[in-house]
Amino acid sequence: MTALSPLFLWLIPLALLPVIIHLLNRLRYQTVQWAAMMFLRSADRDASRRAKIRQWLILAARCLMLLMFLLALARLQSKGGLARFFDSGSNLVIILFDRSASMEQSRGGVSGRERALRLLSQGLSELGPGARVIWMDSVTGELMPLPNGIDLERLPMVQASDTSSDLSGMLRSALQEIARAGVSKAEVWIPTDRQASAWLPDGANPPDWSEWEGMTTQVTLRLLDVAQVQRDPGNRSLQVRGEPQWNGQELALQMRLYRDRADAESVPLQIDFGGLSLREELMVEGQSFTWEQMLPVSENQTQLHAEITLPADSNPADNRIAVSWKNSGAILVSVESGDVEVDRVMSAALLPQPGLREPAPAGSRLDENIDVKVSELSAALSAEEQKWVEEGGILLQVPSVTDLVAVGEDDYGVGIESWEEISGVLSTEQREPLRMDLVRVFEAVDLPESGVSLAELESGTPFLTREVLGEGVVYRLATLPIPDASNLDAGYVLVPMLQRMLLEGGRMGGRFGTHALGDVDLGVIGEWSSMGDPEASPLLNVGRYRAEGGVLALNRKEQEDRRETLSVIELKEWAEPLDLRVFEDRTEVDTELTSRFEYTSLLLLLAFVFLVIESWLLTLNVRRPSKKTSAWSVA
Amino acid sequence: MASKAHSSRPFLDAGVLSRLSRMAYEVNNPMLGSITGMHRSATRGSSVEFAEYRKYVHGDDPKNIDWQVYARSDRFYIKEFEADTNLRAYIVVDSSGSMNFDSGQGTRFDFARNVASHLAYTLVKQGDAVGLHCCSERETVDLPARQAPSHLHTYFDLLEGMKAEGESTLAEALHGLAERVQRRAVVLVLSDGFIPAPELLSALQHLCFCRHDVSFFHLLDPQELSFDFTRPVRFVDLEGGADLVADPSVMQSTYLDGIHHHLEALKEGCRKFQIDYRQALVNEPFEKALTSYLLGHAGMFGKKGGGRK
Repeated sequence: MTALSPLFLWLIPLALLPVIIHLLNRLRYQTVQWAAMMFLRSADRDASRRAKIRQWLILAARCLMLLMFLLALARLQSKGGLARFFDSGSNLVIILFDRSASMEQSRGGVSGRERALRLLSQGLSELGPGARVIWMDSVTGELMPLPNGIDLERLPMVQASDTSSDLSGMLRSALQEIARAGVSKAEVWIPTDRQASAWLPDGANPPDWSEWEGMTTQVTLRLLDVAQVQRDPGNRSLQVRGEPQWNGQELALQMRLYRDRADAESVPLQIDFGGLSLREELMVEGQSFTWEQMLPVSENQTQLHAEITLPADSNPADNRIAVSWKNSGAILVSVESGDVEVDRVMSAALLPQPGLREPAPAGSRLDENIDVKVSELSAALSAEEQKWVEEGGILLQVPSVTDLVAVGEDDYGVGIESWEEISGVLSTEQREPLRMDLVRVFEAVDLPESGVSLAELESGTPFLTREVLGEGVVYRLATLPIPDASNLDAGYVLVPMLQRMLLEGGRMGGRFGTHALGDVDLGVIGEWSSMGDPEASPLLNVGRYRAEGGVLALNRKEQEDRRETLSVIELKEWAEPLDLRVFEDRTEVDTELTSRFEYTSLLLLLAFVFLVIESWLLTLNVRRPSKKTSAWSVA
Repeated sequence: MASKAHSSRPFLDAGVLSRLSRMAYEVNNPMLGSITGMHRSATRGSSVEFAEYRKYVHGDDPKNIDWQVYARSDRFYIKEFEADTNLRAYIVVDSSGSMNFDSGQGTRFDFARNVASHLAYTLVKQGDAVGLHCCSERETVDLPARQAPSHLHTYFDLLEGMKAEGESTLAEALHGLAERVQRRAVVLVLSDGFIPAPELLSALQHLCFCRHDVSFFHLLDPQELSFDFTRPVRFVDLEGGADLVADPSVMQSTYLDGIHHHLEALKEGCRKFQIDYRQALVNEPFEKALTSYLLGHAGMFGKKGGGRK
């Protein structure tokens, strides 16, 4: 219990003033010669006993009245205890519960999620009876009223999951609910491990909460910090990176292992695929270790579904990944540029890619397993091409030879000014940029303005554009891979670029692959069953699931593997201008889950009650002996 | 005699004496006096008022035979007449310390002295004998009843010299008086009655048992009945007991209940024993109380005949 005006506490001895005055009055008595002492002694001995009790009760009432008044002036506050019965508390409490994989990080056998549940249970038990509690968890994102006295740990929506969370979006939903509820006071409780990706998804800037600043509701954010102060030195996590590479005999998975430790050690890996269970020892070094995991896949095998697991550690949620690879089969390529030389070069560039079918025969229909088509550049697609692209086809349009015009002022041509280096068709499988700086263009055409420019010539005109249509993509190239037009035929750009396009087309041709939890619409995949843990759910858990269209491999979102956390100061800045208060673990430091209750009104009421009691006691003492006196005097 | 007697007495008021001189004191019961007086005697006498006839017995004086009745009935009858006699009155004044209580209206003892002196004067003037008995722990005065006017000097001297002090011995004094006075008499008690009611009533009952005509003047101060103190008071016992510091507001109700019950008990006890109970407030004129007593005493309990009409 604290006092907002503690100086008044020094005046508490003044509450004894009535007693002091009473004692002083007793000392200042008058002396009277009295005859009827026998009655006085009797009254003093017998009946005055009750009267004396009443007199002391009056004094006590006066003292208590003064005491209550002084305490009211001191503005006492408290949490818990009596405050539970008198505190109106928050009219509305919304709990934003983070069920992401990072919350499973444990210390001393207790995960952050379990600590959060304990703190929440304690906080809920201290809430005033009038408070309404609403629950929202990061998996379902739905608002659900919580009845009083409910055991949180037995609820299904508090269980662990491998999902990621977006606290920013959840908070926005909570604020909308508060605004809709129209309450005068509301609190949002957020148990969190302060993982940056949960507060700032995709590295975004802090959200703008200014629109909620003028709310009539007094909103307080209460942060229940369950961050593990010191990570378990043995924690490891697993990631799969990039696309699998298949060489006809083996599938190469780009893997990465994160560790808290940095020393060299041997990590056992368990690999389950095709009904087999392999165990391999992996020698790792450093905190981030990348390697290529080879899985045997025969030439006739068109798909692979694997699960790779690390031994359990302090966070079991990041120890497992699932992989689903589907060989889309021979990619049918149709090259119809209208120029024989171009067709030859393009076909040659495509040849190194294994699994390609022969070029489609002339006049074949576009919907017959043709995944990639190279056609002549045109301003508008034909209706047939439009439909084909929208269903997932990749179309590369190149200009007609006759349309090419010279660029640059000399025979040296122009180079590529800027290009998308990291991703897309201008990078390798290993995310390494192509040598676009070596490309020289002598003749080119102006590309249509539709689409996004992926690379531009020094003259400022687009070199390569990308337009998404439905599920497919249309790439447009401004020049041709022939010596008169450019040096693209050298191969160091054209070949990987075309192969990337083929891969993209091949991937889009398959319905199932490796997905992130939450990115798959369960309503679309239809009936499903777990291929591993029978209790697992594609909504919550990493793993392989058999769905109507094939096998589904679900993994954590990449953001869950980011280790960065936000400091308390950064979180306060994140929440501005909202009022965010951080409370540590109640068992370790001073924390407050419930709002404080100020006793001023209650104390003033008590002072008034004592005043009424004192008046009532005084009234009880008043006798009107005058009537009796007159009666007695009549003999 | 009278003027000389009261001229130097501070407690005698000539005006009151003058007004009282037109009144007579009558009693309820026949008296046994020593001389002829104005009160009905318990024996037959020689007054002019016929009492009864009775048969002649040997030894009767033949002169009292009614010869006319003998002539008519041939039998001897004695004709008897009422006797008139004087009375003996004992005035008992409580001279304990509590009689000195003064709330600014005059002391109770002064009031008692006024009543005792004026009543004695009235009685002696009408030929009755008056005695005085003052009682307290410190001093006891016992003056036998005399009807001689000169007796009043002694009476007043004793009364004037009395001081109210010490604890009350009223009950013992009344018991002693009942034992000492053999012939029926008038006993008038002037006291505050601040002794336990059963004790006082027992003493008064003893007097009644001895066929005395008993009257009790209960002298009270208004402050004793109102107890209207507002501040803490140290009460000093006028009879020498321990002091008591008390808050009157705390004990007022209990005190008033106590004194009320005491007065009711005395009043009820006196009514039961046919004692003339008179409550007098000392702030009122004593003449009023005395006049009321003189006028109302004879018919107090429906009895007549104590005095000559």
